[in-house]
Amino acid sequence: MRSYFLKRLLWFFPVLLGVSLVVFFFIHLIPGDPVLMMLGESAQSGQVENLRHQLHLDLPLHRQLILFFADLLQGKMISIFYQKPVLEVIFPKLAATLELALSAMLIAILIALPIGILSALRKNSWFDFLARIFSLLGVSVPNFWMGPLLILLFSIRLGWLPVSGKDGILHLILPALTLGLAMSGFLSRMSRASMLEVLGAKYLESARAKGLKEAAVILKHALRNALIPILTVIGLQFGALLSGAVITETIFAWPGIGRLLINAIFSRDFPLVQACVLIISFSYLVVNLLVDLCYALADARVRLWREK
Amino acid sequence: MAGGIEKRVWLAIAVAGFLSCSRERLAPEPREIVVGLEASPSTLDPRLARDAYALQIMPLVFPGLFETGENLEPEPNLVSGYEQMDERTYLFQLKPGMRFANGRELGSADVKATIESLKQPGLNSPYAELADRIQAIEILDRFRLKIELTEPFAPILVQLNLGILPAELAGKSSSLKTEELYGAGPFQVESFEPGAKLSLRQNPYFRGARPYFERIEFRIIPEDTTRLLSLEKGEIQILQNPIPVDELKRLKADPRLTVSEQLGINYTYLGFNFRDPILSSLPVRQAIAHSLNRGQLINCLLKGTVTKAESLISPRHWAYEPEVAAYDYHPDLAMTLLDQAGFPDPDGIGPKPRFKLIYKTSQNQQRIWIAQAIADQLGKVGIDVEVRSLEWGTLFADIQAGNFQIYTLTWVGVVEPDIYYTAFHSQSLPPKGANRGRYQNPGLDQLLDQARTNPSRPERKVFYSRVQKILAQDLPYVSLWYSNNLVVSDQRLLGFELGPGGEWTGLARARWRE
Repeated sequence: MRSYFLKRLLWFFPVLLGVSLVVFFFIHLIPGDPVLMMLGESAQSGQVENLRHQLHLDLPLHRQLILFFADLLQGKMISIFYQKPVLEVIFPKLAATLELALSAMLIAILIALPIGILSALRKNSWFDFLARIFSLLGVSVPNFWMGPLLILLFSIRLGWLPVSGKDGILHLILPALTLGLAMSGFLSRMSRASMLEVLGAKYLESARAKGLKEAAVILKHALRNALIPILTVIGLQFGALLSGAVITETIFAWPGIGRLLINAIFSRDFPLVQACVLIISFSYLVVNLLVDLCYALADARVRLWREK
Repeated sequence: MAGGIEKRVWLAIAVAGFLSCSRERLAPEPREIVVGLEASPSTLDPRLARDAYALQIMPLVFPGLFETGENLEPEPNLVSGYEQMDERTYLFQLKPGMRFANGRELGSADVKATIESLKQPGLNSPYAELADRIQAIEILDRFRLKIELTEPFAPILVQLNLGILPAELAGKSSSLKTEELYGAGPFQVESFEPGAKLSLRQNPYFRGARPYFERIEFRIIPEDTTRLLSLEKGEIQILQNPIPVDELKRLKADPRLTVSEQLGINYTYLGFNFRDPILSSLPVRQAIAHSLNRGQLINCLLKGTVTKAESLISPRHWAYEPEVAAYDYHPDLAMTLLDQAGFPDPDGIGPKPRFKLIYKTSQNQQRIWIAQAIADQLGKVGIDVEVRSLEWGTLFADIQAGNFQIYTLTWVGVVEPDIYYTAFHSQSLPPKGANRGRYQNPGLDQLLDQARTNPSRPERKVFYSRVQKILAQDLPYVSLWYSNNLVVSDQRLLGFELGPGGEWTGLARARWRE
């Protein structure tokens, strides 16, 4: 298990290297000059050249790449827009995004798993019918519509929750609910399908024949075997949330990394874009690794296969 | 069993409701105000900040030697008086007793250090041009200093609205940290979380009238609807443009809110590329100007939130010239002009156009609607227009490179008429300036050179009057409108007035109704 873990960690390096190269080359393909964006049209020519030199933009691309890696490894990347080290800009936003993503994930799991399991157990019942409508709505309703609706209901009509910002747990509820509801639609469909597949298995009949209670059969044998595809979806969705919650972050004025990245692209803040993408990729890799480790916890066959 | 669960669920909902109800309708703290902003200032370091959000907030913290007056002329702020000794030399007398937020008195050395710091190579200040224009700064005594320019330059007083830093901080060649962001203004920075919020608190040593508000919070809420809902909920108490025009009627009807509107100094125009073979023809540009029904655009699309413009500088400006050639909506005349210019309509009112143009604009939804409406109006005189909406960085790069035919942009905060030099002088072709359409007129160049070196305001007014008349005839731009300064605030707010460029300085004089 440990060697598997270490091997996976080693894989991080080529993946991050690949991501860095792709981001580096793609960002240089985008039209727009970061120097003119920063200094404006009244900039003096000497000043433009000076800043271009400082940002290494006057060098051939391969030398820029070498200097980019040198700055990256020494932690010397400075945001052009904020005039601060990029990590100083990113970390508070990353923390805010993680807070939002974890809360949304928790909401999605708490809603979707019970619905998916019950829906599979009561296949074709009225509950199953309603659950399928719920999951369809969750998948189809876009966040830019759900978010304002929740604000109108909970903040304006009922006055229970704040509209926007990040200032304590009450501010977290609506954005987390917006993301959580959208995810729970997909997750409940996945849980239902996965459970249905497992419920027809012979080993459940064996478990029942051994005299196990139905609850134990479902939770210990059926759910555990159905968990692997569910865990995969949870991992992928959590990874997507790290960078893909831009719309929700914008609606609720949540200062997350998604919004930071978009603004950095608009202002051609090359170092900030590169650092944001690297950190998001790294987080994605960590989440995927954790999901893989969870497979082993959920299913002994995976553990044994890896040990072999 | 099921009943037990149901009871618990209802109990949880009731508790949550009870807890939440105690926070219903957030009222502002007694001496605090929360402002909603669309986007975050990049930095508040006065040597570096150039985005509109920072420039609107900074005068609360970092006053400059001058500020913008009612007629957009420079008015003394940190100086009690000044004297122009010759065409290149100015003598400034600072007000005594102005104190930074650390208690130290502001003096000539601070002004000198701040201006000279703009030249630091590592700083990359967008205001380095100001320092380059100065030959020498001589400190005469604690409160008097002499500034000698490299050459006569009348707009210098407007450029001296630069926020003054304590000399010990101005020496730093990198962006200042939050705890270093203090000047001699009524407020100082308490905390700054870029992209989230900025808090100001009173400068205890401020010399002028003590502000009523002890604390001002600027909260960044990028989404228009959320910003308005936050205002209606009471989480923020004031906001200014941009305000969705469709919401204005509802906001005006809300008794809890006050909507105020005044003529602004942001100018929107349709620009032409003079290097384009079609658009280099004056009759074509005149025809385009006559094809635009600006009244319809203003009333239907913009719901009257803008004012029709005929010149880059606004009618409230001291140099404004009202007697310039105007281009009213006249499609028949437009078609005649196009025929005369050698672009007859190949099939009369049929589908074939006289020629095709590409119209570049940003991805702002309102800009796209405006572009589509203009394309429709030009289509009626036989000009086929393809609208291309581009992300801001790409649009700006294309316009700088001259890779466009027509485009729409806005000049923000037009105060100094020397902007005509930046926008139309032949020495201002990109990347050295903002003559984006590559317009060249030696007669105009001469007038602009004279206007920027002549210290006499009445004489400058004469020069700029002629400049405006020439531009209205040559039509490098079709003037569209000035955006009105719209402010929506809690009706309890008294005494607030927005600065001409949208500055928040009025918050230092405003208060809550008792």
